[in-house]
Parts: sequence; C-alpha cells; structure tokens
Amino acid sequence: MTAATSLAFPGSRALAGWWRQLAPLQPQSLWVGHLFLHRVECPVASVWPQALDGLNRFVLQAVAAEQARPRSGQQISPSFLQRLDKRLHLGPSLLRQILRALALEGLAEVAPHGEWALTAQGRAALERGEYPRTSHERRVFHFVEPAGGGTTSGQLPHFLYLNGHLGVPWPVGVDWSFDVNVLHACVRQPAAWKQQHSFPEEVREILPLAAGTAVPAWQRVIVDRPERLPVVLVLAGVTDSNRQFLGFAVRQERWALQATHPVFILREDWHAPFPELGRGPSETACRQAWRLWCQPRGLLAEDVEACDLRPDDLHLHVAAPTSLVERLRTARSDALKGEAWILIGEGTLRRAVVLDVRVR
Amino acid sequence: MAAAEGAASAVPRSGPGPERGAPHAMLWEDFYRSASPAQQVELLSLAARQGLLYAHQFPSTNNGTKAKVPEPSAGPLHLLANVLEGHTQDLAAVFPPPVAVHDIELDAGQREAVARAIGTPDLCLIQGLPGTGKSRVAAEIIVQAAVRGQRVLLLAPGPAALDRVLEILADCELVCPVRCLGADEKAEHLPSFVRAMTFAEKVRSLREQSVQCARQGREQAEHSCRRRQQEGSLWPRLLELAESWQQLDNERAALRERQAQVPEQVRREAGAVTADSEVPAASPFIAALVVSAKTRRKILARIDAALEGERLEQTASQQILEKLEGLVAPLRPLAVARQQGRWWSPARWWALLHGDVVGRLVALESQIETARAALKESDETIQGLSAERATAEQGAQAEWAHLVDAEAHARQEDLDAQQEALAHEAALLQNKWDNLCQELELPGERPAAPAVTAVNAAHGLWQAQAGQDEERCTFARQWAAYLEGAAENLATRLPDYTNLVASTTATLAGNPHFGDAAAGRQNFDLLILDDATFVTESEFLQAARRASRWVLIGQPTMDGEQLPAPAKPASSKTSRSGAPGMPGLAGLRCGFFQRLWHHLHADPSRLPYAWVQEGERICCRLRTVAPDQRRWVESERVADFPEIELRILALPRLKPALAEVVFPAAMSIHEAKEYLYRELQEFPVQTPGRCLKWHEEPERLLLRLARAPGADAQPVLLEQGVREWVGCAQAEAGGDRPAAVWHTCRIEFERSAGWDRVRAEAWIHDRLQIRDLGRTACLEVPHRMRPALAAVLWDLLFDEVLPAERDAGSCPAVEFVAVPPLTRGRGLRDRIKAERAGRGVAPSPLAGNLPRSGAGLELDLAAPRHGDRLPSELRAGLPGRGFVNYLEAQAVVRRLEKLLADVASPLSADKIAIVALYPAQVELIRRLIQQAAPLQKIGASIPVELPGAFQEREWPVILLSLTRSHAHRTVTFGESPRALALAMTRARTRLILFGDPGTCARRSQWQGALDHLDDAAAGREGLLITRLVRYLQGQGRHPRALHLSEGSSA
Repeated sequence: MTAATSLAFPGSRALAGWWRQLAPLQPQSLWVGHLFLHRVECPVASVWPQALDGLNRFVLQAVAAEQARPRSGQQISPSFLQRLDKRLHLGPSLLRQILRALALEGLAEVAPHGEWALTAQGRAALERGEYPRTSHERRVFHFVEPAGGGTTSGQLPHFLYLNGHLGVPWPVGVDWSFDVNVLHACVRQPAAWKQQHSFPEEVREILPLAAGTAVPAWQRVIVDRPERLPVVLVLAGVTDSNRQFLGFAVRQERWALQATHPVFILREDWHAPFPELGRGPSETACRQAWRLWCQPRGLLAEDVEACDLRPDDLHLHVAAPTSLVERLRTARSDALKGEAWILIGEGTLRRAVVLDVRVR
Repeated sequence: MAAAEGAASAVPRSGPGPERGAPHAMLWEDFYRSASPAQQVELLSLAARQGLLYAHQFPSTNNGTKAKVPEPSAGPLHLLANVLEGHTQDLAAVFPPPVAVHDIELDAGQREAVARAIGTPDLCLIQGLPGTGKSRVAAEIIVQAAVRGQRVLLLAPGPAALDRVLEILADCELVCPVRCLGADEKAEHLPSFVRAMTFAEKVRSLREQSVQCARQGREQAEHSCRRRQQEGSLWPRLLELAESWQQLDNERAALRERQAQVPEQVRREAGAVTADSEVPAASPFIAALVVSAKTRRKILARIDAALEGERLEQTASQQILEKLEGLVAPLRPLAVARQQGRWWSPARWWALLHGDVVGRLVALESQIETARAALKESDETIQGLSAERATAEQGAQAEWAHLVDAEAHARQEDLDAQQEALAHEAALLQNKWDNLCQELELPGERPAAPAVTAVNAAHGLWQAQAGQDEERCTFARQWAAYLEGAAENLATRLPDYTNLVASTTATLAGNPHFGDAAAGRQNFDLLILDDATFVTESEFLQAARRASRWVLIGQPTMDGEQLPAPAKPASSKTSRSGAPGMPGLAGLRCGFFQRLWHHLHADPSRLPYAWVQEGERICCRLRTVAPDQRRWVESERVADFPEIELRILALPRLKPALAEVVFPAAMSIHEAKEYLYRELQEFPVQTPGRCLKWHEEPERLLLRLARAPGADAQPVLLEQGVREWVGCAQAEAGGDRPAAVWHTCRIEFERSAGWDRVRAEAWIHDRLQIRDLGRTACLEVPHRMRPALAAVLWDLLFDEVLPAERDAGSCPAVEFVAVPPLTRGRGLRDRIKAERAGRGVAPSPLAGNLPRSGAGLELDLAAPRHGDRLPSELRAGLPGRGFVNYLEAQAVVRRLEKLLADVASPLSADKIAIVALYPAQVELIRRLIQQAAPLQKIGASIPVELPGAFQEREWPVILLSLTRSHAHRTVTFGESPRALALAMTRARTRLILFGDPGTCARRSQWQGALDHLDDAAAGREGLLITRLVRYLQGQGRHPRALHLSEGSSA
C-alpha cells in the first residue's frame, strides 16, 4: 500500500468550506483522508422474492389444471400444448416460450412423459403469489483495508457498503492480498448483521470456482481490484441514539465535497471498520500538526513550542504567548477568527480540527 | 451475468476520477472476452491456484501496455476482428458431435453443417452453391437452437431469403418468430405465413383473436356448466331405473333357473311315485303315473306266475332225465358186449346172466328222449314268457317316460310365458333408460349399462368432470377478463417470448422492438446471416453485437471474383441499359464473407501443388512460378538419380527454392510420389476437392479430398500405415487452366499402425499446413437442380466440377436458342435438316466457328429511330429507354407456345417462367404473350420478370432472354454478372437461353472494363460468357448437356 506521505490532503480553506457544508449535520468529529478498498467482484447466487404476474399465474394454473385432468387412454388425445392452448388461446409456439421462461424461473418443467408440469416451487408460487427467484450474477463488494494495511496490523478488511460509489483504481504492491473467507463470512452472517452493515441479504452464496454450476467457470472468477476513495468522515449526532458515522466522497481535482449523498452511513459499531478513529489524537500528533501549521507563517520557534495544546473532538485549543497571538493578529490570521483548520496525524485518515488560539 | 453493486443498485461501468478508462477500470467479463485464449487459460489457472485474481495480475500485451479496453459489449467481436484480419492461429479446432435433426431429409453434408453451426463457440460459415439446401439448413439450425432454448436473430440482405427460411418454419411449434417489416414493405403484400409472423399481426392476433377466443372459451365453459346443472337431476332417475332393471334382471334369472330345473324336478317327482302311492287330488300327473304303475304291476305279476309254473315243470323233467340216464349208463357196456359177441369179455357173460339187457336199454333210451323233448319245450315256454315280460316292462317305461315328458313340457310352457312377460317389462325399462341417457350430452359420460354400479361409476366421473368444468369456467372467466384488460401489456412482452427475429440487415436497427433501441434488452444467442455474400462487413459487425455466436451462410464467389474488395453502397441509379439497380446485387462487392471463408476454411484445392505431363515426363510443381519468373528457374540433376530433373527458382535477393521436379518417362506417378516423400520430404497433393472430410472407420481413418470416390485410384505408401490414393482424370478439353491430370482422392491412416484422428490431423497439418477448424461447412449436393443442369451451371458460373452422372431427362438440361439462326454453320444446318427429315439426329453444339460479331438485332429505345423498327402496337407503352430484341422476344414466345402445346411432354403454365435481362425486353415479351392467341388464356399467369424478382424462387423451366445483339460493339449482358448468374440458376430441370451467338463470341474476346462494369465485374461476366461460348462450340466439361437450337425453328 502506498505510504500516506504520497497522498494529497486538503488545506484549511477547503476544510472550512466543507465544514460549512456539513454544519447541518452537527458534526461531533471530523476526519479527512483516503480509504483503501478492495473492490471485490464476484459471482453470487442471489435470491429475490418475485411476484407472480398475471400471465404467469394463469399459465401455471392452466398447467396445473391440465396435470390434474384425467388422461383418456383410449382415444388419441391432442398434445399437451394444444390442450393448454384450448384454455389460453395464445398459440402453441408462444405458449411454449412462456413455459420455457417459467422453466427458467424454476416454476415449470417437462415431466418424464414429455408433458409440462409444475415444479414444487411452481405450486408454491401459485399458492403464495410469489416465489424466490434465484439469479446468478456478478456483484461488487467493497472492503475497507485497515489503516496501516491488514498485513501489518493483523486486522482483516471490513465490509463497507458504498451505495454505488466508486473509488479510483490504485496501484499496489505484491503484498496486496484479500482473504476470500472474509467475503464468505459476511454471507454467513445473520440477517441482523447484514441489515446493520447494509450487506445485501439476497446474496445467499458465493459461487465457487471449482463447482460445476450452470455458470461457466470463467464467470465464477473472483477479482479484487485495489481502489482508493478520498473521503470526509463525520461523526454526527449528539446522543448515542441518533449518533451516526457518515462518509462523504471527495473529488480530488478541486477538493469538491459531494455532501448531498453520503457514501456510507454506519450507526452502531461504527468504529469496527475504523478502530483507529475511536482514539483521540496524541499530544505528539497535535504538536506536530501545530508546528506544521506555524512553519509557513514565520512564527518564532520558541513561541510555537511554548504553546499549550489541548485537543477536543473538533478543536485544537492553543494557549499561546502574547507575541505569537499578536503576530497572528498582525497577519490577520484565520486562526483568530476560528476558521483555521488543520489535520492531525500522519495516517491515511486524519482528524480535522479548527484552531482555537488564545493568549495564555 | 450482470455486474451489480453489492446492494440493489447497478454499478456504473467506469467510475469518476482521472483513471477512468484505465486498464483496471474494466470489468472481468470484458477483460476476459478480450483476452487471447492463452491468456484466458493462464488467468483461469491463476484464479484456481489463488482462489481469486487481482486486477494488477491481468496480463499486458506484447508492447508492455495493458490490454486494450474493449467496449462493454465488444468482447466477442474482438475474436471476429482477429479472424477478419486472418489471425486464426489461436483458434482451437472444434468438432461438435452430430445432432438429431428434425428435418430427416437432410443429407450428410447438411447435417454436418447443422452440427457445426450449433456446436460452434463463436463463428461458423456455411457455403453452398444455389440449390444445395442452404435455407433448409438455416431452418434446421433455428429449430435446433430453439430446442436448446436459444434466441436466434435471422438476418439477410433481402426479404426473399428470410421468407424462404420462414416458410420452412411456418408450422414449427418450437419457434416463435417475428418477422420485422422493412420500411418499404407492406404487410398486405406479404405471403400469408409471413404476414402472420409480423409483430403487428401478432399483436393484433393477441388483441383480437386471443381475446375473442377467450370469450368464446368462457361462453363454452359457461354453457358446459349450465348443461351440468341440468344433467344433475338425471342421475337419481337413472339410479331408480337401474335398480328396477336390477330387480327385473334378478327375476328373469330366477325364472331361467327354474326352467333349467324343470326336467329334473319332474323326474324327481316321478321317481317318488309307486303303484301304491296315494294320488293327490290336484295332480293328474301323479294319478296317471300311479295308474301306469298299477297296470304294469298287474301284467308283470301274471307273466311272473306263468314263468314260475313252467320253471317247476322244467325242474321235474330234468330230474327224470337225470334218473333215466343213471339207469342207462351201466346197461350200455353190457349191451354192447352182448351185441358184438365178445365172448372173451366178462361183460357178455354178465349180460347173459342179467336177462334182456338190450331190450331194457332201448326202453330206457326211449324214455330219455321223451324227457328231453319235454325239457326243451319247457325252455321255449320260459323264453317266450321272459320276452313277454320284457315287452311289458318296456311298454310300461315308455308310458312312464311319456307322462314325465309331457309334464315337463307343460311346465316349461308355463315358465316361458312368464319369461316373455318379464322381457316385455325389460324392454319398457330399456326404452326409458335410453331416453334418459340421451339427455346426457356427452356419450362418454353415460353409464355403460343399466346397472347400479355402472350408474354410480358414471356419476362419479360425471361429478369429477363437472368439477373440472366448474374450475374451467371459473378459469375461463378470469382469463377472458385478464386478456381483455391486459392484451396491451401482453403485446409489450411479446419480444421477450420471441425466439426468432427475422429481419433484413437494413431494417433491424430501426425496429422499435428488436432494433438498437432495444439492444440492451433484446440480445440473441445466435445470429444467422443468410446470403452473407451480399452483406458488407460493417453491416455484419453492426448486427454481430447483438449476438454471442454467429452463423454465416453464403455462396462461393463466381469464378474470377477478387478478394477482398471494399464495400460499396448499392447504387439505385439506373444505368444506360435501363436495368434498375437490384438491392444487394448491383452494388455488391464480395467482401468479408469470402475473407472469413478464406481464413477459416481448409481448402485443399488452394494448395500450390500441381502434377502435369510434360511430353512423356511427369512434372511436379511444388510452387507457382509466374511466367515472368521463368527466367530465374535453374535446372539441375539429382546426383544419384540423374534422370530426375530439379528446377530451382532462384529469384534475386531471395533464397533459392525448389519449384519443380521432373521425373523420367519410365517413372510412374506412384513412384514419383514415393520418391518425393521419401527423398525430399515433400507431400504435393493436388485435388479439385474443396473440403477436408474425415471419415472414421473401425480399421482406418479416411481423409477424403475429392468429391468423386476415385474408383480407379491406386495407393501410394508414404509411411507406415499411411496411404495416398491417387486417381487419374481426363484433362479438360480446352480448359483455361492447367489440367488436373492426377489428383489425390483420399489419404488413409491405418489404426493398426497407431494412427488416430488427432495424430492424423497433426500429420496433415505438418505436411500441408492446412487444418480444419470445425467452423466451416460445405454444401455440395445439388438438391434443387437436375444433375445435368447443375453440372453445366456450376461449371459455367463457379468453375466447380460435379461428378458426371447419367442424365435421365428426355430433354436437354440446357438449350441455347440461337437468334438469329446459325445459317453459316454448315454442319449444324445439315444436322437440323436431318432432324427435320426424321432421321433422329438431335441438334448438338456447333463444332465449327461461331460468327465473330453480333447480328445487330437489339434496339436501343433511347436512340431516336430505333423504336420505329418495332410494330406500332408494341412500341406504345414500352419504356423510353433500354434494350429490346424483337426477334428474340418472338423466339421466346414461340418456344413458350411449343412447350405448352408439346403433346409428348406437355408443361403446365405454372412450371415455366421467363427472365429477361432488361426491363424493356420484359415488357415486350409480356405484350407478345398477350397478343399470342394460343397464350391468351394462360399467358397472363406466366411470370416475365427481371432476374432480381426471382431471388429465392425457382421454376422447373426457365426461358432466359439475353437480349443483347449488337452488330459491331462488344456489349455487356444485364446489370451485373451476378444478375445473369441469378437468372441462370432459377431453373430446376431445364434452362433455355435465347441469345445471339455472335454477340456472345465477341464478348468472350473482350478483356477489361466494359460499359457500366468495372474490371472485376466485366472480367467475371467475360469468363462466364467465354465458358458459354466454349459449350456452344461443343467443348466444356459437360458438352453433351447443352444443346443448340435454331431460333427460326423454334
């Protein structure tokens, strides 16, 4: 994985702009950075409840009725399709295609004696008016790579529902890997977990590469594509009940925040994918961020070092010597207006705080 | 499988950001489809090892860049593009198994074509000359695909080819077709079976016919239910009748039983009667029996008493007799001794002592006689009494039996009367029963018999049927209501249920249901492109996106067509000749189909080898040496075999190459072949066959190269278990290319020597550099045409050799009617005279020279004064431009009259069609037919058209007017050589050409572009006419199949 130093991060003005966009959410904490994702494209068997439409219902009824009809063994009876057509009047060729479509849905089948018959699923569909429709398709699942890389941290990637958003492909080294068992484990999770993490409940199975299903082998290949997604992470909500953790995508070209629709929303257990965000910034990290902010502004090093730093969720309170404050005032710095934002930390995700500089 | 986001939403194909379109942005399916087969195998292997693939492991192309990202649906087309460029080396050969065809009349070649088309993973090309059954094969492929649940897109450049296939499929329930209507087509002008397949007609059928039928079905079901309600009350009555019947039946049975017992009963009663029985008052039968018994007893008693007395007397007589005999016995010896004087006997002396012994003996014997007579009389008396007793006994028994029989008869009569009464009652019941059963409408539901069980059984079935009728009625009501409300909805779903869409290439894109607008929804498993020869590459590629596999059906190029030529849009401009541009023909340039065929088909006739006779010596040409390269050919002798000459082509700056090997006259072809293979490792195969056909037999593998079996072929042993069979054919007389004197018929591989199919194919590939990819199929059997006609036409048009077959037809397959007559040909004139004189010599091709220029009979209607040479009544109404040939038109009409009036083999009008190459000539012939008195009744029914109107249609007899007859210029024939070929191939049994031999001869001398024809087209036409002229001169491959007639005699 590429080191965080090679990644670009937004400046104070961009952060201030984002803050104004996000203000309605009443953010409690703010992080900015890059998510490293496994974009896992894999073949799955999905099961959807499918309502039985009128035409199919009538055709199934007609098939069932013809099945139940006693056969006359003496006289030469018309073919099954012709008998069915006497009920439905759609023409044998069209009826055959409708039956074939029903067979593909698993609702009808050709019985050994050559006539069409309802399957057990077809009979159940007639009773309930709907049926579980299994479809084989390729799906994309995103898994967020733990900060610092899974290999080093020992943590496994965590499923993240991205609501259709895409990251950008990202070059990785040979150490990049993904354990398919993580995906299988997600499929095996209970419904409550899937709902909580927006994992698609209709996905029942990851089609194995080796098994001989109706899907050709090459379509059963799982592909992992490394992606990077610039994001702003917001912890919003005052109380635990309404607390939610939101991720917003950022277009890196002009640091444009796509604040209208979050990329993902986590409620409980939001720190599971991002365990490093649960901890507050260290003193060293705060000091380093403060130094970096001061460096281009020509502040005296002894003044900078003399400041007392106290971070909270959204602020870095700085108790500074008078000379430093005066100098900032002379320079009409945003820091004195509460509009100077800095990023604390050196990882791929960094806490964004606003500077609150006061005279010590 | 569709790619979709983890949740319900679909994933866009490419995401935002600067890397859009980069290799990693491609989806797996797109990448896989664009990868080479080797890359595909490598990727699958890697995925199997790792459990998944990483995008950065996708392979790069040779230049180090990642593989080009194809368009989302361009995957399969990638392969197509490769094949079109000739890159077939990565294609794995496929050999699909045979399929069980529905059309059982398909020949082996057609079945093979079907199997290959169905089994191909990507592309299959089927090539066949006109009349070889391409449409039937296309129809069978469609049926096979339908059986497999596949959707098929059938395309063709024109509607005629489509409709031909659809006609075959018209009654096939497996296929649910939709025929797309072209912009210039009107449904009402289509044949009924095609019209029924149009989308509009199907929707109309759903909206009107289905709804109407559903309503009728509902009414019928309701009627059935009402009838059932009425019939319900019948069953109790039927049951009551059945019970009555049952009771009556029991009574009758009891009566019959009694009747059966009457004799026994009477006998039993009589047996109990004796003479002493009491006589009941009301039983005269018993009384009579008693009287009879008493009488019998009385008579018998009297006889018995007499018998007793007689027997006593008899006993007494017997005793007397015994006593007398006892007295006689001692006296008889004494009397004998006395009478005979036996003095020495003591008996004599004793007799003397006892007095008159003899006298006493006589007296005693007399008494004995008397006693015996009495005894005899007594015996006779006893016998008489015994007889009398027996007679009396019999009389008594007879009387007894008579009394018993009379009694039994009387009782039977009584019972019969009762039986009759019951039968009458039964008849009444039966009548009631029948009337009641008639009230049950369906005979099958009536009780089988007037019995309770039968009624109950029938009632049970009736109730079940009534339940079904009730259910059917409910269903019919609901279904009719649904259809009335949802017919529109059903119409929108019709495309989903269509498994065959037939469209012209030009129409498909704009079709609202199956065109580009519906491309995402309506894709196909198989695209069948019929008449692919007439389709451009871009047209095909546009349509090819809609399917994952393609079957292209076309015909070989006319000999002389070049490969490949750029596609040129068809021109609708009318040429100077007045012939309109034929869709798909006029602007046709052979192109991608031939290119694909060239790349995919293993054609052994394209091998560069040739075996020719040079004087007495055999020469094997290993490569083609152009005439201008001859000067670079050097000759040298083989060191250890100086009789063999090697000719080496040593072109400047190129490596010398062995070009020809000439063998001494003493060496046979077999020795030469063995030598080449053994010493030079060369395997020069020359064959006219155009396909590799493998046949697997239990003991050997056969690779058949020639169409003819080669009965005279001889084997050449090449190596262990491999034999080449070489046949010798006669050189073509006057052929336009080196004669194929020796050709390889087949190659055999003995299984006992370890050969199998894989090894044999590899052997062939190594030595000949050709391999069958399993993606092409040749249709070689002319089904439509009479063999002799096919042989001539295939030779004329395609330079194809058909095996010469004996022609069973009574008339010539091809006839050329010369207009004007060939009066200059003396030999011909003599023969015609001979024919007229009845000497039975048929006209035959002219052996002598043809006129060197035309007779100038054609009239250009655009020229100011030419029209004046036509009768005024014909001139009016003819087109203002174009060519006519009045004499030729007259000849056509006369021949038509003759054909229709021929007593020996009369033809009906529906078996003849007339083709002319120019619209004005078409019109002129029509007018002449209208004016001809014998044709006035039927003339209107004979089609007279341009060639384009006859596409995909054929007639037993075609009369073709070539029209052109210019006095001094070389002229073309018709719009294009393809139009001419089309016209010539419309006949099934007989083709009659009308033309000016001189104009043809002049045309055959011209090379290069001519009139509206470019070099290539003019060359093709020139070649065709040249071959025709050769036939007129009595040459060609099948000279006996073409007969020459005089126009004036027609």
